[in-house]
Amino acid sequence: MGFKRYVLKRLLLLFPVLLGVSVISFSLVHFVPGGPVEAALGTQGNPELIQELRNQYGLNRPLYVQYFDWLTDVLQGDFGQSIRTERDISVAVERAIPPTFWVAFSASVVSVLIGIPTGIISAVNHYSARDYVATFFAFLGLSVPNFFLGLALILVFGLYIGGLPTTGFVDPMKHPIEGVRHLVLPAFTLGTASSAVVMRMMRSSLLEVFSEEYIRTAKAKGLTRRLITNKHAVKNALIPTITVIGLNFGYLLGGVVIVEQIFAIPGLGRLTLTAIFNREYRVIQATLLLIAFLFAVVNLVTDIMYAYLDPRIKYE
Amino acid sequence: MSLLEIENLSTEFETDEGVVKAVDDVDLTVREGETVGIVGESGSGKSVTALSIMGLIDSPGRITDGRIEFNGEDLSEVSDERRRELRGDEMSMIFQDPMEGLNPVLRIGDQISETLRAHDQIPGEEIDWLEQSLLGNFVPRRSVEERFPRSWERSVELMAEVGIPEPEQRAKEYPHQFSGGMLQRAMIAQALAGEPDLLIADEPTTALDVTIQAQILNLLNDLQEDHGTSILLITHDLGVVVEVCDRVAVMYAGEIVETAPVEELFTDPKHPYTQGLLKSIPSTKERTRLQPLAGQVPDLIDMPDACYFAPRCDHAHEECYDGVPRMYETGPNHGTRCVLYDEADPNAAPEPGEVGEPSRGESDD
Amino acid sequence: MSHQTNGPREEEPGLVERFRRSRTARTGRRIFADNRLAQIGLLITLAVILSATLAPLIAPYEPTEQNIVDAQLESPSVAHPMGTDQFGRDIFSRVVYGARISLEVGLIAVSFAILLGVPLGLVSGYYKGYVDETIMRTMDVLFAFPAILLAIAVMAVLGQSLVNVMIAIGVVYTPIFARVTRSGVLSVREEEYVTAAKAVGDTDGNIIRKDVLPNVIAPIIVQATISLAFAILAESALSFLGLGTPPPTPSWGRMLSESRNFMQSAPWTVLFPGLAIMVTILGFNFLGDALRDTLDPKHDTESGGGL
Repeated sequence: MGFKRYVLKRLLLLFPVLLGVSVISFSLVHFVPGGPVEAALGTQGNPELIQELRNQYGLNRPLYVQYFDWLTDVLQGDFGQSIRTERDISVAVERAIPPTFWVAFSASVVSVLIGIPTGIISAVNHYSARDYVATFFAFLGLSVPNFFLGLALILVFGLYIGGLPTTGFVDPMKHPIEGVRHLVLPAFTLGTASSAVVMRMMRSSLLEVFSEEYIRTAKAKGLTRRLITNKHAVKNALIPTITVIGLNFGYLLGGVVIVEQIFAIPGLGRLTLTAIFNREYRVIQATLLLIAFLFAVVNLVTDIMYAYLDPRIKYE
Repeated sequence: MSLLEIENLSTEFETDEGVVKAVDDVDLTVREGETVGIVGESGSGKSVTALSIMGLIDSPGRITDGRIEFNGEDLSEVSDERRRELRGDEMSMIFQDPMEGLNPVLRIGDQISETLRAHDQIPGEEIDWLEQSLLGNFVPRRSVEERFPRSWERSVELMAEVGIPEPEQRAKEYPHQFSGGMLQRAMIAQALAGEPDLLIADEPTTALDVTIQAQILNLLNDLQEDHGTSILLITHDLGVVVEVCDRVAVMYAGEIVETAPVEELFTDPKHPYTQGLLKSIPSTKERTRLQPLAGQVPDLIDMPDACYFAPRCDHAHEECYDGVPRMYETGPNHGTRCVLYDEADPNAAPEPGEVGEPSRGESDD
Repeated sequence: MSHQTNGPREEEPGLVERFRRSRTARTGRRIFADNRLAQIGLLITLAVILSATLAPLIAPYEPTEQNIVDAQLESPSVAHPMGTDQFGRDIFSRVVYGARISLEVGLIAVSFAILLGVPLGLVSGYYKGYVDETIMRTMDVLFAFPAILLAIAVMAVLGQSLVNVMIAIGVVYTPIFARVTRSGVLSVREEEYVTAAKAVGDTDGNIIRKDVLPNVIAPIIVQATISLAFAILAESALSFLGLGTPPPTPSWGRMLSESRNFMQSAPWTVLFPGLAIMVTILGFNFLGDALRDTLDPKHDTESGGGL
C-alpha cells in the first residue's frame, strides 16, 4: 500500500537527519574557543585543574570516540554531568520537558482555534471589509515580536487589568484550572504569530479550493452554502494547512526560549539560556538535541497526517 | 405545457474590457421525455445557457432578461433558496471532466448519498448539523453507510443502474481510484439521485475516450427511456448530437440561430452557419478538402445591431445589417434566424441550399 | 551628411525617459501601482533606511550619553520626544541609532546567507545526484533546528559580539536560500535554452551564470526581503535575551530587556523600541509580500523562517 511505503520512507529519511543533528549538538561544545572545560572554569582554572577535569570528562580522547560514547549514553537517557556545577543533566532536563511541552502545545491550540476560523471567514467573505481587517491583523500578528507582545500582555493582564498570572508554571495535569491560567498569557504570546500564519494559509488554500470544479458540482447538487463551505471546501483546504501547523511547531519550539524567559517558566528554553550564561555547554548539548529531536518528530507526524488525510496518497 | 420553456433569456458578464453578452435573447423549449441538444463552438454561450437554467451564474455574471419556466414555475421570479431546492432534485447537471468534478477527499458513495439526504429523499436520513459545521471536520464519526443505511443502499443501486460493476465495493472508494468512464457514470448516478425531471449534460463525453463516449451516450439513452427524464445535452460535437438528441438548437455568439428535429438539421440545414458546421466535418465517404468557416467567433462585447454571423457569411447582403434578424419559421418544427428566409423580403435568395452562391438581390433603396 | 534617414529623425530619448521605459521601472510600476500595502511597505522601509543612514543628523543626542542626575526616566516631552531611560539616555536618539544596528546586522546576515546559500543551491540544483543529496541533507539538518535556537547555539559557542550575531543569523538563513535557489534552478534547467546551451558545448559555469542565474534572481530577491525582515527580528530577539548586540550599542531588542523592570512606571521605555521593531518588520513584510506577488507568483519562496 502506498501509505505504508510513504511512512516508511519518511522514517528512513529521519535517521540521517537525526544523526546530523546529534553531530552538530555534540560538536558545539568542542567549537568553544579554548575548550569546554576552560570556558566553564573561566579565569579560575589553573592548568592542573583543567587537565584533571579534561581527563575526568574524557576530553582528551579522539573526537569520534567521544561522540560515540556520548551518543550511546544519550540513547540510554544519560546526558552526563555539567562540568561547572556537576549536577546531573538528565534530571534537570527531565524536569524541564513538561513545561516546554505545555507551552508549545497550548500555543498550537491557540493558533488553530484562532487561525482556522478567521481564515475561513476571510476566504468566504474575501475582498470584503471583514477580509481586509482580518488580513491586516494577520500581518500585524506576524510582525509583532513575541517578546514585545509578551511584555505588553503582562502589562495589561498582569498589572493594569490583572486577573491572569504572569509568572511560573503549574502542571495542568495536577491542577487543571491553575495550570491553564498560567498558560494563557504564554500561549497567546507565542500563538499570535502562529495564528497569523495558519490564518493566511487557510485563507489562500480555501480560495483555491473554491475555484475548483467539484465545488460547482456541489452547488449543482443543491447543497447549502454552509454545507459546501464547511464540508466540501474546508476538508480539502485543511490538508495543506495541517502541514503549515506542523511546520510552525518549529517556530514555536524556538519561541519557547523567549516566552519562558519572559514568564519565568522553568522549561527547556530557560534551561538553555541559563546554561549559556553559566557556560554549561554540556547542558546546551542536551537541550539542543532534545528540542531538535522533538521538532523532527513533529515534522514526521505532520507528514504522516498529511498522507493520512489525503485519500489520493493514502489509497494508492 | 412543456417541462422547460425559456423565453428571451439573456445573461451578461461584466469584465474589464466591457459587458460580455454571453447569452443573447435565447428561446428554448424542452418537452417531457425529450432530448434536446445545444450545439455550438466554444464561446457560443451554450454552457452559460445551461448554467443560467440551473441558477449557477455568479458574479460578475447575471441573468439580465427573460423567463425560465420550469414545471410551471417561473424561475426568474423565484428566490435563491427555491432555486437551490430544485437543483439536484428536479433538475440536475453533469459536467465535462468527472475527475475534476468530484470531491477528491470524499468517497463516491458519500457523495451520491449526500444528494439523497440533502433533498430529503429518504425520510429520517438528512444532513445533520454536525455534518454542516466546521467542527464536523475534526470529530470522528461512524461511517456514512452506518449512519444512513438506506441512503447508502440507494446509492449503490444507482451505481449499479449506471453500469458500475461491484457497486458495493466501489461506493467505498475515492474518485482517483476510478477510470474516466466509470467516474462519469458515477457523476450521472449522482445526478439521477434526486430523480430529476431534467438532466443537463454539459459536454459529458468530451473528456473521455471515443469508445467510452459511445457507452456513456448509450447509457443516457437508456436512462431516458427508463425514467422518462428529459435531457438537455450541450456539446460541440455533431456526432454526439446525432446519437442522442431528438431536437437540436444551434448557437452562435450567444444566440440561437437554428432549431430543428435532428434528422432535418442534418439533411436540410437552413442557416449558413449550420451549413458551414456540417461542411467542416470530415466525410467518411470521399476525400475532399475540408471547408472550414472563414473568420472567427466575435468577442461578444459591443455586438452590432445586425446579424452576428454576417461578417463570415457567404450570403451576406444589406438586409443582414439592418438589425438583428428574428427567427423565421422554415418548417413545422424548424426555426432559422436568417433573413434569407424572410418571405416578405423579395431580395432574399429563395434556395440557399445552393451553397456557394452569394445572393444578388437588387437593392430597394 | 552621414545620417541619411528616410523619415524625420526621432530624438534620442533622454536618460530619464530611457529609465522610465526600462524593465526595472516597468516592474516597479507593476509592483507598486494600486497596491496600497506595497506603497506603505516601501515608505516604511525607506524611513528606516533613512533613519539608519542619517542617524547622526536626526538624533538630537548621543545614544550613549547618560544623564542620570537630571533626566532619569522622564516621560515624553519636547526635549525628549520619546522620553528617557533609567540612565537618562534619550530614547528617540537610541531608537534612531537602533535602526542602524538592525539594518546593518540584517543586511550583512542576509548577504552572508545569500553568499553561502545561493551557490550551494545552484550547484545542488544544477548537478543533482549525489552532490544534490549531500547538500540538501545537510541543509535539512540545519532546518531541523528551530531558527532562534540555532542562532543562540552559535552565539553561545562564538561568544557575544556584533560580528558573531551576523554570522549566527547568516548561518540560520543559509538553508532557506539554498532551497529557494535550488527549486528555481530545477524549474529552469529543463528549459530549452539550457539544453541548447549545453548542446552547443557551453561550459557549465557559463550556463549557470548566463542562463540559469538571471531566472532565479527573482525568487532570491523576494526571499531576501522576507528574510531581511526576520533577520531584523532575530537580532532584536537575540539582543532581548542578552545574546545579541553587546552594550552599550543601542539595539531595539536590548532596549526592551533593559527597560523591563521599569515597564509599569515608565512604559515609554518599552513602548517605543517595541513599536520600532514592529513597524519595521511590518513594512518589510508588506514589501516582501508585494514583491512576491509580482516576481514570484508560484511561491518558490518560503515565508516564515521566523523564530
